[in-house]
Amino acid sequence: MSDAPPERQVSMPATASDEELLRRFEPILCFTRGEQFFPMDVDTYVRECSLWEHTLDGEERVLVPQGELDLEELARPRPAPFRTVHYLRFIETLSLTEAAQAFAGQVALRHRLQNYFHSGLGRLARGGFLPRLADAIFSLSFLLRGEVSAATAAAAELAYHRILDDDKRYVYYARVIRQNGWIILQYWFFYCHNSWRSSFHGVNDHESDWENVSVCLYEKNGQLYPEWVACASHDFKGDDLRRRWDDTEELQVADGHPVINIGAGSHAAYFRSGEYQAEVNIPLPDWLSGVVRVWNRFWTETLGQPATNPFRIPFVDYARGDGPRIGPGDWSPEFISESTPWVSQYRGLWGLYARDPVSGENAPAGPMYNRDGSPRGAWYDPLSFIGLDKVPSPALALELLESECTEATTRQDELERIIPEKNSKLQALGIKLQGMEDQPHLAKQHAALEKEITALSAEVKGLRRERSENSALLQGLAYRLGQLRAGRTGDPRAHIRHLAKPVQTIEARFANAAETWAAISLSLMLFAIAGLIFFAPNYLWAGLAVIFILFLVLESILRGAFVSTVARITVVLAILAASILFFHFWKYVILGVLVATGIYLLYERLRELTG
Amino acid sequence: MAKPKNKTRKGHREKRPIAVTIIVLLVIGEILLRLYWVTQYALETKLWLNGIPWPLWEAGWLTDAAMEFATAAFRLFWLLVAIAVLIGLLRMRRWSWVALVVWVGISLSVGILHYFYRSISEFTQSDYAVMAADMVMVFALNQLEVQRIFGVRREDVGRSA
Repeated sequence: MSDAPPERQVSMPATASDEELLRRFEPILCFTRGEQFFPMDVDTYVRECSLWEHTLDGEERVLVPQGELDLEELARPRPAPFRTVHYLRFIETLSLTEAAQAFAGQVALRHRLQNYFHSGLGRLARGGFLPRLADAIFSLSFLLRGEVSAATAAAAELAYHRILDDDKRYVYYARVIRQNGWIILQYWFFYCHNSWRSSFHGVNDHESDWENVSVCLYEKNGQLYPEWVACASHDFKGDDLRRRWDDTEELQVADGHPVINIGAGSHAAYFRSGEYQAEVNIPLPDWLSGVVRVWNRFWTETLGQPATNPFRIPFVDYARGDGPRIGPGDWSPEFISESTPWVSQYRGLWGLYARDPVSGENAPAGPMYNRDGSPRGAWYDPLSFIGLDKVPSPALALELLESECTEATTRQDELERIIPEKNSKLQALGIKLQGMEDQPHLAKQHAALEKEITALSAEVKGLRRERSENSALLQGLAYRLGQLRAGRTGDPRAHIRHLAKPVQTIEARFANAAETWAAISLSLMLFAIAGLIFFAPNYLWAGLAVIFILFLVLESILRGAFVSTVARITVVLAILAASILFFHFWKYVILGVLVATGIYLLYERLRELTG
Repeated sequence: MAKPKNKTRKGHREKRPIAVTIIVLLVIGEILLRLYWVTQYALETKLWLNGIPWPLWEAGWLTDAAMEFATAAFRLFWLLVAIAVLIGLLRMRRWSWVALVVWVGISLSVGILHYFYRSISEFTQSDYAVMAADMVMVFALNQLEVQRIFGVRREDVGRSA
């Protein structure tokens, strides 16, 4: 903490209560303008829900109707056969009229609140033509998968704002865990709906959302200091989830409270405000994944081309932080633990079970469980979840390091003593072995001694290697010890493997044209294909190829990637041409390869012969 | 004062990779081939004495003579383009790399379409030869070293359509 700027050097007495600690470090959540859902009270939510059961044979059954459910009822044990899913429904199935009313109400609400979202240069224009094609397939996949309808999202938005009008409270659920010398303050936030797809062009929508932020403290001289802040985010895990308190570039702190930017609709948490490109891989069958892998290796390693993955769809998570901020003074904290019945007893989903096999549209389970009812890592092992299980607290680090240094030094001294002893013995045996040579009657002893020498030689070699490695280790430990004693804590980002960075604003040459093109290009291509089938069916394949190439080239001009795109197209054409040529002239190709190899070998051998 | 191009920090010109030499040789081959076609046409028709063949149109369509003339003019145009590209390649200019890639891209597309939409017997040995030359040129032009020397590939390149 000594490297931290003065405004970050906050602490609390070790005697402070859990509540005091939680209040002192509670985070400030910064939302994006246009966000519709904020952390709310689960009691009110559950009272608005009905409880359902999805059975193995596909039947849906109401267990507790809307208006009769509360947290106590929710936590009641409900034995059921394997693979039964219990879930809540915040929004009941809507008729066509109700859906229309929900959409109209949503428009009126947004107008009243002036709560509009502008995407800017959209994700489609950022991704390029091939990912957009994959995106279209992804969108079509919702016809086969279960999904949460846009009308449900609209009705949820209306219902949430009705609740908010009656009870304007922003709630977090918190607990304090003491593990390995760390004190972890874990804050859980409950949102009644995730509207990332329907409102912000994201990957999924689902009823309810649980997200968390942790602040890790350590004790030194009777005071508690914050050292790490961690939060859950897409595509990241372990060490990548946390930032050090003194990292002024990556972590914003306001009056001792960490500032977290929340993704619009997705509610994923980011340390820096901005727009993040999340990527989703289209799930491919194993055989196709294998083909793609082989092709990628050929493309990058054999042909030396830059790697691309057309089966990865870019999605933008907007965590701009330009909307409402919820922080100290706004929060209503609630304390939870394993002994809180609704936390530990209810293992079902906290919203609609949309029957989505990929699970993206199914609601999540509570803070303690995964969707399948298994325990959630962030709950039962919060240190391991953020990769902190292997990191001692600063208060223990110096002591541990000194102990490691002492141990390594002792071993080094021991090695310095053992190696010369063993070496002398080895040399003595060597001399003895030489004395046995050319003495046929000593053959047996010679063989036994040779075996002994081989073993001893290997042992000495191993000890020398250990001494060398130990010496390097000692240097490292001594350096680190010096740094720690001087109060220098080192690079605050050394632990991060993949750093989440906001994407830079795309510098498309014709940004507006690129955006328009991104929106209409796929439909235009389908119209062109339809025209081709109707007017020139005899030239279908050639026409398809020409249309596809023309669209790619036009797209590349708009995105300022003409050169690299044309280069890639020509490489593909050249591979096709090579296949045609091989098909027709394979005998000559094999002949050529054999003759060339023969000449090369002849040249090499003759060169060796002539010295 | 014009900036020196394609020079290393020490001020020496960068060495031309073998792949570029191969490309240059192939482009020279293209130039010679087109020069041969244009010259042959000019000699056969004694263009300098007879001038442009008339009439150009008959029954709303180009006459055979006009078609031959147009083909020769087109080949002359490509001859001039090829000479310009050759000069650019020798001086290792980025635009020449781009022009050549576009050229071989179009040539390969036409060749492949031709191959699939006409009977095999109509696809002559010279068509295969052109296809092979284009293919070699594409692989040579897309070598990492060649792209780097022409300023096409930087390490941070990744965007494409």
